[in-house]
Amino acid sequence: MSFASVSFLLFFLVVLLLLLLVQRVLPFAEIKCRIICQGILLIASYVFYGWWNMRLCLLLMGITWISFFTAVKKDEKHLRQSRISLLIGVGTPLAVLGIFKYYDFFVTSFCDVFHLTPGVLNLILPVGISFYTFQALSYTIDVYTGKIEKEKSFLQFALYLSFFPQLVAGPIVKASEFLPQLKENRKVTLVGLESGIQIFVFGMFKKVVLADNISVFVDEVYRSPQIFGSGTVALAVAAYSIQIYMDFSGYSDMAIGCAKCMGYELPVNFNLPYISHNVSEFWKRWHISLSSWLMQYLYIPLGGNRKGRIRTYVNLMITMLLGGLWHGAEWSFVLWGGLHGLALCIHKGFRKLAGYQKGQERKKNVLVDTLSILGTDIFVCICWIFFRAENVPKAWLVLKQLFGFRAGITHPYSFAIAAIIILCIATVAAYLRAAKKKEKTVNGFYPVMDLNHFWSLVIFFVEIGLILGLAYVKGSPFIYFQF
Amino acid sequence: MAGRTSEKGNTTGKTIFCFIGKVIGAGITAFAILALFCVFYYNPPVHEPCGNGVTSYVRQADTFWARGTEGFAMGTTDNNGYNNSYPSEGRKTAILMMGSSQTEGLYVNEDDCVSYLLNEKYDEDGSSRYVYNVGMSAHTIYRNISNLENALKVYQPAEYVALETGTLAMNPVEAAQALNHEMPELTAGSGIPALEVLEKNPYIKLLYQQYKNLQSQNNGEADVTITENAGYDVFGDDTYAATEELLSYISRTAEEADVQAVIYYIPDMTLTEDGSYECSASVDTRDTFAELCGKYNIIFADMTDSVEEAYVKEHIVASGFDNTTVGYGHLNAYGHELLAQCIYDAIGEEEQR
Repeated sequence: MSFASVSFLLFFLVVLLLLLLVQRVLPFAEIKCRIICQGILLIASYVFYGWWNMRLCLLLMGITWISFFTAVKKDEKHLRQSRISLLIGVGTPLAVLGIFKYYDFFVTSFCDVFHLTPGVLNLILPVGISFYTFQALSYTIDVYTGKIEKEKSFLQFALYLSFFPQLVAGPIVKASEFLPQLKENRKVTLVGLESGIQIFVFGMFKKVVLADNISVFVDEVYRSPQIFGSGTVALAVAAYSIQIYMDFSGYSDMAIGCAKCMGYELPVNFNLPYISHNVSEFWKRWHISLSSWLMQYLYIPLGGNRKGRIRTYVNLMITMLLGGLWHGAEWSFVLWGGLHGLALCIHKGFRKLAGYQKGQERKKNVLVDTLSILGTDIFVCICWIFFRAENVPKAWLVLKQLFGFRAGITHPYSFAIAAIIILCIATVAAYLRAAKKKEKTVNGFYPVMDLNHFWSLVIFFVEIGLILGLAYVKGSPFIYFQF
Repeated sequence: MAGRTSEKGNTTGKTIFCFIGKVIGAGITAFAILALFCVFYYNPPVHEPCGNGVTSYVRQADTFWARGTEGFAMGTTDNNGYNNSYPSEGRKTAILMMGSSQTEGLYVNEDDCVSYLLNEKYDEDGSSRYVYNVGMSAHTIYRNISNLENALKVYQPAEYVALETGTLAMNPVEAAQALNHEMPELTAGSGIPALEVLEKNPYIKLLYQQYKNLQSQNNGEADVTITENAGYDVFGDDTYAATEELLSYISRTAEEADVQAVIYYIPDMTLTEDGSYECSASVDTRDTFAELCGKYNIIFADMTDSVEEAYVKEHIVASGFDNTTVGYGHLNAYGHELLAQCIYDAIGEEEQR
């Protein structure tokens, strides 16, 4: 079930009421209360996942079992055994992911090159598999490297992998971030509910009002780019960059809000990515949980920047190419990742040439800053073309129409323009807030209000009213569900 | 101790009571703000019963309307509940227009509506004909044919009665219903007095529209017009016979009222994936319909060619707005302009013969 559905709202209400009931009945038996609440959350998470397809629960349970039992700390005395455990613990989830997500893609691509008839499996991609696979891997690797202790409680580990707010589309939560929370007595509180509900509603507004309404326009332009004029295609390209941001960050906000209502903290996944001065900064602000996962478990183990300049660039490219492939089994995603990898390499090379030390930033200059941000945004928007288009030829068609200054239908879609304005206003608000707090870096923030105040309640109710009145009701799934 | 506990209990109760009061007050205030927003965003006048049978219902008379869900437009209904803002200055109606929401034109500003534009043209050319628009949402050609006699009796146009059609090959079942005056009833509003006040609240109207959109989504109705092919309006033996019968009735009824009938065709256009803009009716279908109209002395105004030409030459699509799928939905301002020109030219050509 989608977050933006009546069934989920009812489901979540039931879960909250059950948690509150247990807290009320067992106020002093802390451990018992914690175990029962976590049991309720685990069952709820499997109900949530099984809503898509009951068989998916078996897959999730399988990966949970394997990861739980094969996670061992590296033991120098029994190195072979611990390495075999690591291999099984890492290899099995990756193999499952590979079969479901990439088998058909690689087989078809191989056969296309050699003009053979592909024998594909046509397996339906289980929702969320990319996310919980990475979470399982992070646990197994962290236990092996000694970063965290092996989890003794199967209940807590199973809940970590299946926790429904982040199960199907992230944020990708590392074991070191979430398992400690499960050791504490996290409860449903008024404070948590107050901020959690507001963050959830904020995310829902971004998704169902902004992202979904923009999708109508983006879909029609990407379906037949050749019939639209270059100006309209440019607007659609920009609109998609906003759509994917609103869709994905909206989902992340809803996940964070849900978790907060229940007393848990999920990491922030987006931090005003479109004010980045360069691609390196973009990846510190966009899908933060994925980029930090890739850095920690792929880039650094490959050697990071510790093996010389050439090797650094190679490591960056491998990380970004695989990061692109993670998003989908299509060459356009690989190309998208490759473009970002190339940009990262160029940025790194430029910093080296310009003589910047690690962590050093250039002096603030409004003109240079503005041009940097615009340049980065333009680059990112163009890369999104490969992300959105069905395949590379379609992406090329969009690019031709965009840069060909061709005549066609002019369609200045009002929701796209409104979303750009809203994003600009939100960005200005973030800048003003940073200036007021004398912060060096501009960060996003949740506009959480004190709902004890009358006008805060009015604003909150107006927000809900606008969601009900302006939501695009004709169905638009979360973009990242397909990953 | 008991006193302190009781005091604490009273304070907690008071806090909760205050909070509930704040929630209710904030809810009412928020509702008022949303209603004010919707006055300009989505505020079509509700339907009310029409006592004279010209249409199955009318809009609230002399009422401000606004629409931002499909196009951005606003205006005021006239004292009969129709969309006529062009000053009549006491003139008698020369041309009566009967149509659906396309003719009613509540998706474009009142001065962009087809009837307003026709009035402008007739004032410019010196004939000063007055065009009166009784277009009403959900009124198909079948319903308008069923109401034709009443409309002519009430408004007594001096020269023409113009009927909108979106289909050329008429459905025999609906044709029979129209001719026998057995059209299914169209209700104005819920019919429940207690809800009538609520129905006039703009925010409630918006929520109801959202509910209808959700229903149509659940019923599998798509709103995508860019598709692989078009074309479904074709003549068979039964549809040809039904069309002829209807046109014959229109002609007779118009003659009895001493006016000439005009039928203006608003084609159902589809944008295909390769970029062509195709009409649901083929050239043969349109020619056949035109022939039938000629046979019954009905002026046929077909805007298909001008719509196609506008697309090919200027990449302009006659339907759809800046807040909808391109080419989907009602005629936009440009579409109304093309339609007005088409009707004006068709009548002009007939008069010159």
